[in-house]
Amino acid sequence: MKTTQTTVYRSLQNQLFKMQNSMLDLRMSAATGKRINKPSDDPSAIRPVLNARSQVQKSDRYLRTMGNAADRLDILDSHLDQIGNLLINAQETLIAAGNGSQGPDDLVNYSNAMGHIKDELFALANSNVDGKYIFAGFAEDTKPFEEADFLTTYHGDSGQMELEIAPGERITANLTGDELFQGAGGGINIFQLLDDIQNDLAVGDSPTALSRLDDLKNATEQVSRKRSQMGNVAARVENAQGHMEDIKIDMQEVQSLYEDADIIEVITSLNQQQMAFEAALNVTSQVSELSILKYL
Amino acid sequence: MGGLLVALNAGKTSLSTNQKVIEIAGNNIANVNTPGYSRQKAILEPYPSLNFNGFMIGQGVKVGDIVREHDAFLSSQIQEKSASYGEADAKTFPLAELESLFGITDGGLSTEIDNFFDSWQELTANPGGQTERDIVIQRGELLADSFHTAVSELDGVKRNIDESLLSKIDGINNNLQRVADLNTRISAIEASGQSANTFRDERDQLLNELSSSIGIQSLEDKEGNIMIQLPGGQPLVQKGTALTLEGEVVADELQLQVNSNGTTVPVDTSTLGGAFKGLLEVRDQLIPDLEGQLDKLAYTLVTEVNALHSTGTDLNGSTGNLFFDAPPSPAPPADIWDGAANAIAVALSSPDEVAAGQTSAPGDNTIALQIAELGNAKIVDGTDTLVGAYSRISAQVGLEAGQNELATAANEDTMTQLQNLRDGKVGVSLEEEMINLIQYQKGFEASAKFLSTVDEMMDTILTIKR
Repeated sequence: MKTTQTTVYRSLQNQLFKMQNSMLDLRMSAATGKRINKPSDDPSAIRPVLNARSQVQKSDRYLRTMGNAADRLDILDSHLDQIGNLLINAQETLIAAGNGSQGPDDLVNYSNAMGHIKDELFALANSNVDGKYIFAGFAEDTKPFEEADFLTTYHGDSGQMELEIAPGERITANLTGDELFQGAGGGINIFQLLDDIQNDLAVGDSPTALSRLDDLKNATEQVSRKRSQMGNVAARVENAQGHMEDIKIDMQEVQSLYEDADIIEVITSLNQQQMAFEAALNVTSQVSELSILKYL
Repeated sequence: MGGLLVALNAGKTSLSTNQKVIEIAGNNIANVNTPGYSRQKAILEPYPSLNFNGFMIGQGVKVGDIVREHDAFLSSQIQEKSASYGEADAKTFPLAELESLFGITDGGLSTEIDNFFDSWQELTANPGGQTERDIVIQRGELLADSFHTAVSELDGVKRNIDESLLSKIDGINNNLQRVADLNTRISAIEASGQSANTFRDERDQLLNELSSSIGIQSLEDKEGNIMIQLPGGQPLVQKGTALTLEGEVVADELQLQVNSNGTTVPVDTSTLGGAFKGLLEVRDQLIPDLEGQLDKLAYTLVTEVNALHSTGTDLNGSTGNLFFDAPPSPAPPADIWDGAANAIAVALSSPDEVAAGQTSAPGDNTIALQIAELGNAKIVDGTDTLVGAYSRISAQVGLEAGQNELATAANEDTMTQLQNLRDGKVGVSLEEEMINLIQYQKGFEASAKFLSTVDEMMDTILTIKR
């Protein structure tokens, strides 16, 4: 078999094309820093890459949600702190009023003091943060307690504001006013209790008033129980935050593993290809020098 | 003297024969770069000997025939491989378009799906917020746009394929007609005992082109006519007559058919080969499949989101609202999700209408929570998440393109090998021609020498008598 000039040129040309193509791919990798620039570069890596990308985005969102939850819980906590202090204040007032040495005028004063505490609690129960009533359940645009009927009636709803802080993991980030203040679901109606004590003191019946001291203690307990409950949730959010940040970094690593090019490897291969390309060009240019025509 | 005259004649035949052979070498050299050219060679044979006093004496040399080098096996191999190469090569462009369409860079459909559910998650933190509600609607609209873009670009790829098919039909019909004309000429020339070398080269070249574009099968009869048929058996050229390939646009899609004397026979992927088969496979199999998967993705998204959204109540207190327009309900036997990707659109116009909760209370986020969770849920066929289903589509396109890339490279290598083999067997080698030149030049010189010797001898004879 003979090797013709066309054969030589065709083979060399094909080889040069191939090298140019692979150099183009390598240059693309080097320029974008990505191993995968189109789906055919590695079809099996598409799912992990897209999955990791959504996970990273979701982690970001969970972190922001957790930030929001932490804010809500902080606000709640400072309000519960004030409420707790108010109730301790009420206990002190009641004990002072009930020590047996107070005259009727003093008792009226104490009754007025108790009325103030009740009013303050009423104001706290209607706390509005950022235009939203925090103890109104889902009905955050509705004032949960009205002057006229706040002892017995709750105008909010029993909605539990849940937030998702990790896939499938939800926390409750609110307390409803009926449960906290009116004892809905088997607790103590603190408004009613304070009102009763105020009325008892107003008519000078300090023993009856004093008999409600245990109830008042239980009411304080009711608030602090809720507060520690919410504190636990806040601690959980804080833990989850650290955890979620770890997940995000893990996912970014997974994404990079599949998607990012090993630049050192790319550059090395590129140099290698360039050398080979130059060699091929050299050979091509020498083909024409070696001809029978020179020797005739 | 008579013998000398015979010798003179023999010298003359030798001179002209060597000259003829050099002429042929010159022609070979001239065609060294002509595609499909087969090296020609002279068949030399002696003139019949004459009986002279009981001895058979040669009368010189003549060119008996000029034939082309030919290898039927290689020719048919090249023709066959041209079809596979044409098929793989033709797919390259549409597949590259599809790859960029179902890419995995940021900003693709998968990003929009993620963003959409992210906006619901954002809404859960502030379900009453007008901004958050607005963002949910906007993300929904962007997602719908992404689906529309994907569908219209798939249509675009189809249209490009149709254009490309249509633009090739004229060339193919021209080639078919030329093969038929060459059949007539070759059979006429060869009936008179000559070799129609260049016409055969030209016809072989046309067959390769036709094979590459429509993957023909060919068969030569005794008179030298080539009959051409499609792989499905539909004849295209018989002796001197060629049928024509036609394209007709039916329902926005190009249908191919063979016109034989007024009756038309439709042809498709099963009856065609080569580039046409490759292009039609992408248009009629891959793209509809992708469209189906996109539709299914859109349908699942729309129905699942709507199912949850309609159980909620918007800020105005109305319940049962759909977030997306209900997908079209195609008549069976079409799949229930047919056309969903093209029809997807947000049904809400005002942010108040987003049903984030079960009640109309602005702080209620129960429904938003459930919808946000759909982003993680395996809702496509119950086995895959939405982004997972998208990555399946993208991986399918990637695999198809990757395989085709390999097939193209492999077929290209084979074609190069075969063409190199063909060149080795029947191509023009400059070295060979140069050596032939030397050889026949020497023959020519020797004949001239011989003639001058005979001339001297005749002179000698003529000077015997002074």
